[in-house]
Amino acid sequence: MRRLAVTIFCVSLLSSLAAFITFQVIGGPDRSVACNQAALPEYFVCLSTVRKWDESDILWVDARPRKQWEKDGIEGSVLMNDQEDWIDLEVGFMSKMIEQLKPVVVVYCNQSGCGSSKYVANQLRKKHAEALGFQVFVLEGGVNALREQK
Amino acid sequence: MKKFSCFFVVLFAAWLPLSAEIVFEKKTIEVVVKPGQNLAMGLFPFKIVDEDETIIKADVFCTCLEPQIPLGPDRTPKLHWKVGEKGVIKGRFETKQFLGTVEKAIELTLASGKKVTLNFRVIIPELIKLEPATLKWDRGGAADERVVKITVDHNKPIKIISDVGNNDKVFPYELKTIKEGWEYEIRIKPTSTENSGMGMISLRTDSLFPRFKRKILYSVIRPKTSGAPVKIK
Repeated sequence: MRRLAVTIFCVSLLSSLAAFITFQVIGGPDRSVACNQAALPEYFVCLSTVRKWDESDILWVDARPRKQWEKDGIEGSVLMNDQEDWIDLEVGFMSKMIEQLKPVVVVYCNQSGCGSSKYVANQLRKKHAEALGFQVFVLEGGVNALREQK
Repeated sequence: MKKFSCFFVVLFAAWLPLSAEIVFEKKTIEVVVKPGQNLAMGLFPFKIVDEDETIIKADVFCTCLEPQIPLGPDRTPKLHWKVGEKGVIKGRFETKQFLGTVEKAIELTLASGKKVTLNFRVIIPELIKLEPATLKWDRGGAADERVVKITVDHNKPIKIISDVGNNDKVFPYELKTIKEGWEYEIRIKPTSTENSGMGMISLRTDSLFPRFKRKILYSVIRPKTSGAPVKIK
């Protein structure tokens, strides 16, 4: 019984040591949001693709609840979510679009499954994109993709 | 041989939870709501096959959607399900702030580690349509007249009871009734396109449903964009 305990202890110690050395040499696990642009639905975009575009062309739209946007929304982003009165938020978006000539709008929410970014993007595309000449995309992975890149 | 048998018993025991399965009739459902309906219920019937299953949690990503797991005899959500049992996961969707098509998901996490995503798509018809909802003139371009068609797509008329423009100096407009309660048009001709600017015309209707009581038409003057689309693939 004592032998078994010693064996378990030694195996645990050795595996912990191996894990520690691996972590020090290679680094932590890759937690990045896997994103394959070719496999995404229409109008969805990977952050790696967005990073290839001119940053000054992009208007970021935050589709999360207001408190989250106020806490850590992208600088210069506009709040457009499906929890508040659409018309009130829309006025803010339109004012920003007049002030800045942004040909690309990228909408993000908490994660891919939140659905808010898709809804906001669809509404903007349907109502304003053609008239104002901008394209609307949904960021795959949402705010998690942005956080991981930091 | 004995050790060998033990190894397989352990291996089989480890595999067992993975074989449990919750099978849904449909993982995506679509509901078309009536204009005044603020609540939609989505039903996801399921049955348990192969092995017992335990639901750890049900997540949603919108305060508008509430997942409901069937209640057990003790009136608390029944999380442990035996093979052969059937149940219905419900989604209670508050739709009052939406228009058009909305899709939200319920994500179930099971004891086996598996996650099941149930998609609930709700379609809220638009009773009043503005086409287009935004008018744009290029800065320095022709200040020509544009027309917006307003149509009512409902079984009862919806009248426009007031219209207010916030920038009539630049965007003077005329609201014309084509067929009271059913069809209108707004004609706008900017006085100048020399400077960028935006105007809004706020329309109020006599609709009984709050989401159709207010509509906004945007008029915009801004520099012409290059129009070159970004490439995503």
